[in-house]
Amino acid sequence: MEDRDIVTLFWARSEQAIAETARKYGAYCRTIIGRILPSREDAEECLSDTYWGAWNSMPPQRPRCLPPLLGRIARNAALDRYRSNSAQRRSGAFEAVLDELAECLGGGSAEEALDAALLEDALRRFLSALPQTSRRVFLRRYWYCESIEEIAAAFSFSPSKVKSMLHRARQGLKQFLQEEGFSL
Amino acid sequence: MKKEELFRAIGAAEEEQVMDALAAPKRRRGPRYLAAAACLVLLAAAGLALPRILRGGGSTPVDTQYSVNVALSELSKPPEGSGSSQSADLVWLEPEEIFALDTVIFRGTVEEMRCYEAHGAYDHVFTVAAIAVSEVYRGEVEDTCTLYLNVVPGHVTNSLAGPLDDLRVGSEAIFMAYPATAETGVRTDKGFFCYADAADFYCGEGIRLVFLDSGEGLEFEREVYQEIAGAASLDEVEDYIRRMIGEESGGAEDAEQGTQESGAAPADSGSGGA
Repeated sequence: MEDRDIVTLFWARSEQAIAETARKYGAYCRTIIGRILPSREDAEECLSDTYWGAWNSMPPQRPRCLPPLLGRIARNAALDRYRSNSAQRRSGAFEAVLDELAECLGGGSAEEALDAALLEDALRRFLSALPQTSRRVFLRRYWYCESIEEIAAAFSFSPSKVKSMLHRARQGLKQFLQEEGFSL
Repeated sequence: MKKEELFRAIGAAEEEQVMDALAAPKRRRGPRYLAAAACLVLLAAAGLALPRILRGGGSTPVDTQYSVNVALSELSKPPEGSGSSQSADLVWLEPEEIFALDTVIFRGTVEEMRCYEAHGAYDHVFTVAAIAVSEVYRGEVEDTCTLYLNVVPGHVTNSLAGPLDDLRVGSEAIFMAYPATAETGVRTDKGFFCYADAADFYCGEGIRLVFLDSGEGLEFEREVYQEIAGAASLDEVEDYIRRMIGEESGGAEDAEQGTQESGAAPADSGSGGA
């Protein structure tokens, strides 16, 4: 079923929308969630949360294609569960992703409330300014949480090149956020 | 800001960019970047149309001075059925590290290209380009020099060739090359092929060490040199190279001198961020 037809089902409040979403994008969502939550039980519960989140998102949203929206909901649901999990139930691989992003924050201890919308807008501008390949590598790592080896294989790059590209992008992001006035 | 907040905010990336991230990248001239090992891809085969310089039979022996158990011949065409595989491990380097290599850097125009064969303890087909040098940025380079290339542009290539595949007589380029000495070359268990028997300099790869104006655009590995990814001329590359090797441009020196005379502080010229 085409994405626009699935979206129509959501708007019509038809429960078939969930079934069609699961059929077409269940594996996709599981993959994203699985990179953040190593526990299968956690992942299945998170998947259900993702479908519930999609149900609550449409309407009012009417995306042209579903993967980015579903992936975003899945990421956020998985992140919420990850934060509430004890250390023993956390994924070392995903912790590495977060630790890499922490390099962009400068180690400061800013406690003031963060305007999420401003940060999202700034990140969209940063990503749009990146060269295409750098952006693809960045998003594969920090949106899709792919491993360095997976990214290297996809682009026929060496792992060291992928690490180097990500390092430069993180340094650029850190500088960009500072110039935008964010407290890091 | 916490790292989790940053991770969550990245989730709001544009739909098109999120989808594009999964698009399979196009491959240009076969794989360029090597994970563990690379193979030389040889395009030479019987039946390919060859330019006049490479047609016809026979070869002309070339005297050698340093090579051991390796004979050199100038070819009128690549030998038929030639083929070999060679592993190469390309270490990913930052531009600063590339410019720290012990290379000479010069700009010039290719005046002639000749095809040669090394045979004996080492079998290999290669090209020697004669270059009229217009500018030297680093090292000692005469007004004309010869450059060893381990490819035959348009006929025999490898995954490290990069812009060298499009090098032709009349091409203008900036080269980062190593001086060929009595010790530089390829050693095998049976002998030694010395680059100095072939040329003044050698260029082991084109990907990171050559900036070529092919006449149809500027060719170089823009992913490596992201600071000048948008460069459209060798002059822009030249300015970048001068900055990278720490050479003050004449304009910058004049500007700084002018502002110092007027008592104003010179402008800060930091490099770009993302």
